[in-house]
Amino acid sequence: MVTLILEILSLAVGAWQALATGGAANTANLTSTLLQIAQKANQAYTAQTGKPIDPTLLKPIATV
Amino acid sequence: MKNILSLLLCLILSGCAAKSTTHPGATAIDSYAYDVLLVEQAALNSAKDAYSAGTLPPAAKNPMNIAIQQYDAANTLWQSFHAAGGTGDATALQQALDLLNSAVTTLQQILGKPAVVLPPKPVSQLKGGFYGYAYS
Repeated sequence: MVTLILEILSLAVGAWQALATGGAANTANLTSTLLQIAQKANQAYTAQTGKPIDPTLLKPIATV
Repeated sequence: MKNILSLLLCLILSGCAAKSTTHPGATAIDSYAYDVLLVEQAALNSAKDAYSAGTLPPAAKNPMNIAIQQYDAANTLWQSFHAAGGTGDATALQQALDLLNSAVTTLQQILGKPAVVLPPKPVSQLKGGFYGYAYS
């Protein structure tokens, strides 16, 4: 939990720095992409919470 | 903006992650590894799609491929572990998940702050700081 709090504090400092330096606008598209990735990951996790394990849901991924 | 959104996301998802439970009929490490692989699979597939669509920088390619390779290795190991009833080599599985975490962390560092919050580890079974989380 301490690590998570420190991470949140780190993000807060980063957010303040982004606003202070005006760099926030340059990362809007990447931000959107990262949020979509996070949402997909969270959905995958929550959709299976409390359910029995289904090994077939985990498939190999091909590199790009 | 990115950091602000990441901060909000981290706050939101941290609350969700703390509610994690073991999957019915599974051991703690079997359940945890399954959750981690589910999260990483979704994240990596989504990242691949984004890269193909040109919304991720070219610099993401190599670390993403390394993360994918680590995911495949960890998944193969976990499939055997799970098939054996969740009683196989837990140390090897932990090491594979550690390598996966390291690879994904490298990718996240290139893209920005961590945007994926992994499930809480089963502290009673896994020693040594999986993903830096220490729920108590």
